[in-house]
Amino acid sequence: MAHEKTEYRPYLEPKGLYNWFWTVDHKRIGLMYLYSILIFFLLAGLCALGVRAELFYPGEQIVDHHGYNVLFTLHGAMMVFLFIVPGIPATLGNFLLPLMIGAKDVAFPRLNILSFWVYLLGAIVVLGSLVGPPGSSWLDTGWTFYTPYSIDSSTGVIPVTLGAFILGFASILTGMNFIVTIHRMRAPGMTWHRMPLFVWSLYSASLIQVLATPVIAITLLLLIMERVLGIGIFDAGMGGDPVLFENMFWFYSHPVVYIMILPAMGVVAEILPVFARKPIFGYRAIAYSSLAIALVSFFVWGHHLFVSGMSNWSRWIFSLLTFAVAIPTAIKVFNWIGTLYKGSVSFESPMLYACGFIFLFTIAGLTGLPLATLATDVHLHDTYFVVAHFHYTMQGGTVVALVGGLHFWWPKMYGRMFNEKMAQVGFWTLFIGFNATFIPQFIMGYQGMPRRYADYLGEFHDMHFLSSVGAMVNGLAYFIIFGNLIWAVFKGKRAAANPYGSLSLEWQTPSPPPLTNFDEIPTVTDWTYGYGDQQKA
Amino acid sequence: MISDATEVAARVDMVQIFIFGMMAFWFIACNAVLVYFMLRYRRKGPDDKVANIKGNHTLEIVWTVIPCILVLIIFYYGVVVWKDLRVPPKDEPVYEIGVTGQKWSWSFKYPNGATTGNELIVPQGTNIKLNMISSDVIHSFFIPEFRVKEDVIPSMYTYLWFNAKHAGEYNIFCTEYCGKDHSHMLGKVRVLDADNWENWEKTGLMLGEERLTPLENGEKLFADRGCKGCHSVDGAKLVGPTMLDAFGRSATFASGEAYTVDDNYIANSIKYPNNQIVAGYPANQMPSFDGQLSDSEISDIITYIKTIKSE
Repeated sequence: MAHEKTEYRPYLEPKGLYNWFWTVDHKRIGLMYLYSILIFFLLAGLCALGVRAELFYPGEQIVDHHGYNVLFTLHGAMMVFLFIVPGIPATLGNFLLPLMIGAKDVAFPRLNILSFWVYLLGAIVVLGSLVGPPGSSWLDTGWTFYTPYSIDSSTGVIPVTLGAFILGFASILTGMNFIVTIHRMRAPGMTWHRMPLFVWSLYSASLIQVLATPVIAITLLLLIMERVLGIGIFDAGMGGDPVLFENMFWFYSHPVVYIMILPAMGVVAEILPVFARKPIFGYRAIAYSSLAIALVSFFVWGHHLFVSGMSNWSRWIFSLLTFAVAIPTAIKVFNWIGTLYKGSVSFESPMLYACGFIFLFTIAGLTGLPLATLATDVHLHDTYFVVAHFHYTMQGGTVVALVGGLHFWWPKMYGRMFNEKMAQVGFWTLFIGFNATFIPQFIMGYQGMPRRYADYLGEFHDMHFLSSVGAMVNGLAYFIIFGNLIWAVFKGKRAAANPYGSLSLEWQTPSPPPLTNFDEIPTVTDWTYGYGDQQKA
Repeated sequence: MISDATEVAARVDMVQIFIFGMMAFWFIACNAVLVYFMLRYRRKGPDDKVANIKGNHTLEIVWTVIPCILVLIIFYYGVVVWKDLRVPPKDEPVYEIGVTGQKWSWSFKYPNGATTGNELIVPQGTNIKLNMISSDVIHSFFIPEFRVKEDVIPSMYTYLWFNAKHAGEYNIFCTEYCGKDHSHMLGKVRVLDADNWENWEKTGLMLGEERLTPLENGEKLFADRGCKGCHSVDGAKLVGPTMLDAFGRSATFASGEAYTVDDNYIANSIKYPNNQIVAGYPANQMPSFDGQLSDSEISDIITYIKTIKSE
């Protein structure tokens, strides 16, 4: 192979904790982020299994009501702040962005490692809330910290909000770094319209990270000040307004779901053309719809307050604005499907995940319609219907894409192949377990089952039971999936530089890549998806 | 799947069915095409010819414009029905009931001065408007069978309205997380027919129902007003002190001051709970029932508490 000169040293060397912790290499930082978020994915996932185990039957089984409230709070808080916000951008994004645009690293490598350290600090502060007796000090406010409950609660509101505040800076640093990198570090010939769509999605998500995160920082800081100094901003008892907190909280926390889902859509847009051996369908439509989603995402937070005493005018205006998100989302789905048309489609595990993503994401997107519609949302608001919708976007969408992306780029990251059979078993276990968990939740949500209930009426038992059984299968799937991937790192077959025949730049360098990514900075002469042109040659 | 107990609820269901139809169509359409492409164009060999298609402008416009039109239709239909769900009909009489949400029970106050806890009593076929406020954290008042829900917020009145078609009983859920016993903040709406309602409004009794003795009434209030959620009757330590052998008990407040539980002590604790925090228990947990329970009701509760004795 032309690339393998004598001095080729994969970025994974030299080994040793010291060399990793002080690295400024975007690939190592990506992997360290990956290991960190997966630890929290495991912890938060176990909390979810605890929740579902308690809900097998009505009444108290495993934990008392406070214990249940702690479980769903920790599940949400860790999943959101420690797992899924850094989720794809800080892991796959960090690893791939410079490789995909033909750069040696991100624009600010030292800010990049600072982002990781800040993330670790934030994580430690969040975990600090667990020091102390579970009964009285473990957080029980829900990950949303609604006031005035979060002001009255005796539990660890301050460490968790302070942790989330710190984590926000990690997110801002990564976002800023990506934006500058994409503007300034593209290889010669890598024009905006030749960039891989994953890069477009990272760019859109980064804009939200930079613009929205300061608002949650302010909000959480005000909450902390209110608790510590007793100034009345949100507490009605002191003349504050609790609904103000909801507005400020969702002004960040709605756009943030697009930080989570946009890069996932980018991953899918990378996988589809490679396995269909066809150009992506509607490149510009997909690229611009990412930007459109990022823009619109800032104007829809009010749908979280449809029944929160907001004026009737605001309600219907926010309903209309919320529907605006549906359009760019639909455009993406149609273009993904169009990519397969007259292609040569093979179904290795990354492609299974990509197609599984489209299937699950159509459910996620379409179940958003009755939640955006005022007449129907009033009934569905804060029921399990919302819980299921949200998990279809976040797990069925983001996590499925993350796992698919990990399978796709694993050979690049470690130079090793996983066991394909096992990967397929993992996918189907996840697919079945996930749907079995959340389809019953749509049904009982429509029947009126409220969310965040430690106990429930007997009439909801069948659906809760099915959902809990599904959740156990859903949980098992991740042990199969990650067991296989971890096995591959140590025992997997050596991977070729480009096992899937992709045209994207990250595959045109050895697996795993050398520290500087490329022997020399490549010159780009065509877009990333020229699979049809390739065949004529 | 779930019955509709008001006229508006039935119309909300029509919107829901319309949207479900739309969802089913698009779900099946997208995934049928996806699966068809997956099977029809699956790889047969390394030399498969593929079409070099990069996109299609006409298609892009079509699949942008059609969803735009469809969501506008859904939006409009949703707003039209929601207006009737949200705003009580003008020029028609409205019967207004005050609702207070508190951890973890509901209180209702009627125009004739009557109050009830966790059981909302309303006449059938009447426009009922609930004016709601919370005395602690945010709650949300949800009656699934009426398809109505609105948050109940401290410092701010919110409202909802309904008109129940038939006499019957329906669930009330709290749908905004409000702490430990959020899932037990349950209530019932009891919709009465005209005769029963007239009688209840005058006497506070259902037709054929005997007036309760003070003791029975005290026990009922103790359960309905949510006292039970925090004060056990079997000695278990919950959020607040147990009522078992409470009457006559002597102990100390958090302030160190000694006290003995007597009639006045209980009445004060019900009205101004934070003035008398027993040592070992957190303050600011119990809402004040001042104005929500009448003196006669408080006296009935005291009668009941006196009887909670071991052996």
